[in-house]
Amino acid sequence: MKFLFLIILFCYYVFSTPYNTITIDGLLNDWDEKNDVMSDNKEINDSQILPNDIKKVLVTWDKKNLYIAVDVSHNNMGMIIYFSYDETSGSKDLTEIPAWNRKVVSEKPINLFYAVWSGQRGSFYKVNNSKEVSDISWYFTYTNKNNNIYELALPWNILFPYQQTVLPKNAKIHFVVCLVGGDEAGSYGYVKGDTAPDNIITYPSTTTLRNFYTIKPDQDSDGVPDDYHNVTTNINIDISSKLLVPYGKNDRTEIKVLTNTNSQLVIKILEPQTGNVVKTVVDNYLNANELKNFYWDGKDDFGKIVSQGLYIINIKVFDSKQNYVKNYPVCVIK
Amino acid sequence: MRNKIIFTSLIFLTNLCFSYIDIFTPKIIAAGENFLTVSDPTFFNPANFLSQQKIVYFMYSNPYFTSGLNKTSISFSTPLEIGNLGVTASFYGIDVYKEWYFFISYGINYKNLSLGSKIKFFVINVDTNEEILVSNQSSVLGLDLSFCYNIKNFFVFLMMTNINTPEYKLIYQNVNKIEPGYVIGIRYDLYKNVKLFIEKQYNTGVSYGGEFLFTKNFCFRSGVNKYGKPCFGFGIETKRLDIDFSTKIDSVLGWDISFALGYKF
Repeated sequence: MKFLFLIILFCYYVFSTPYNTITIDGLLNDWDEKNDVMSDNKEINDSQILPNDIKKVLVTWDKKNLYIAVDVSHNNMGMIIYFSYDETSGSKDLTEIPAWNRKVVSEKPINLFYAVWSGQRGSFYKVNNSKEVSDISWYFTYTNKNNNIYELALPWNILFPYQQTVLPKNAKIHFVVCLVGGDEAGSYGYVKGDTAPDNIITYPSTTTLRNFYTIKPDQDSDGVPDDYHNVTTNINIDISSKLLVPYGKNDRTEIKVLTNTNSQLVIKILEPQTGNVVKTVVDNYLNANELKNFYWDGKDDFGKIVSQGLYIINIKVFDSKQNYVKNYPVCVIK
Repeated sequence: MRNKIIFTSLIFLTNLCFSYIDIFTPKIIAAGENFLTVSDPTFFNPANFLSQQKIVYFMYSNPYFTSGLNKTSISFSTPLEIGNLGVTASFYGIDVYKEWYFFISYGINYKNLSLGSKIKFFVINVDTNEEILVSNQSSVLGLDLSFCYNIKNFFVFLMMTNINTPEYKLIYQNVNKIEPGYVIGIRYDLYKNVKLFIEKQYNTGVSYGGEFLFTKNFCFRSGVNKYGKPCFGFGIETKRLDIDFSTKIDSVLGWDISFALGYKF
């Protein structure tokens, strides 16, 4: 009987391990590239005060926590991550808050922020209203390794208390990472140098936060954070015509692509006999559920109409977990 | 006998040949697409197939698993009193664009020298309502000539394709030319069960490969084609059946798999 009980206990332990779980150790080796929300390379090294710069922002979650990691250089500077997840509380105006006042106004109500000065561990503050914050750091697990890698675990039940489900159905969490200066006049300072995602910084003045990263951990509306690693990538591809007549009416082939996950999209036109790439139509990031339109007009990368014959449209959609490749024929008549 | 000589002469005199898309069989593809030096029942090189048996040979490929794209051919070849004769019908295309190829090949051997000729008839069919099309169908004739000279274990091949530079027109503004090609190749029979192939085509790279006969019935083929793509495959040969399989790997397009089945009688 005891043996059976131990087996059940063991199975419970093994199978109840949350998916996508991150160890808060200041190392990024348990994160994958799919978790990187700073997909746009323009955001890297875009700081006005280099080498201080936000280099990487990673997000994932499991059934218990939301995890955020930030790779940042900030010497003798602070960093604040502002969170917005509840429209009915918090404050849009943080110009009078008593802690870490960096003269920030936000288009979304800020419910929580994590603030840290270089070389320190930092604190979490709940925004009660525009003039009152509470230090609630003891609810969170977080670390700062080598003064540049921050890993934070935010329990869902702290972000969304008093819920019958783990989180509200269709919950959205918005956040923005800001580099901030020290206190300059009295007990406040300013956002300085860089934000991720990019916002217009009006140093030394009030900064209005308009751009946020948005995550949707419950897309299936069951009140439980989705295990997105189990999400199968569905890709819809529509090729308008298999015949392309560059001098005729049908002088282009439209290619429409829609996926349900954030992915990298590469579309190439190849000559099947030689395998030569005659044209790279697109090599770019593709947002989930965003219908993208591309076309090929029968010209190669040098603008010259290709020879008569059959070509292959090679469509590759991939992320760190999945790789989808599909070939479609198209014929150029000339 | 007199008729056969006239027929052979006709083929050489006509000198019209033509090849647009190369529809190789798995035997050729697996050995690095060395179409000149690898002996093949479709008579791709008519100077290099001197079969002692009648054979019907069917091949199929869905190139790189491309949706709706098919490549297939069926051939019949037979030994004659003098030389060998082959007939092949091939198809390459999709539902709205079809390329048909019909070949008649003849090869003859005299001492160390083999000669071959292939008449090819090419038809393109396009399913569209475009007004600028001259016609929905265009056809053209062409001819290949090939030679082989054997010295000990070496076989030296030369082939000239599309010598007449066939032209066809699908739309009014443009004439499509099929440029002639010149290929030279060497086959070296290293051992009784090991054959090595190397070929060089005018203005393309060198292709090379080998065929290794492990047992009487099973052989492995491998090579690199003239575009640098690795190829491999195998063949199983029994008294009545020929089964061939090949794979060509492209870093972007993926795997191009072909298989073929031949029946000898």
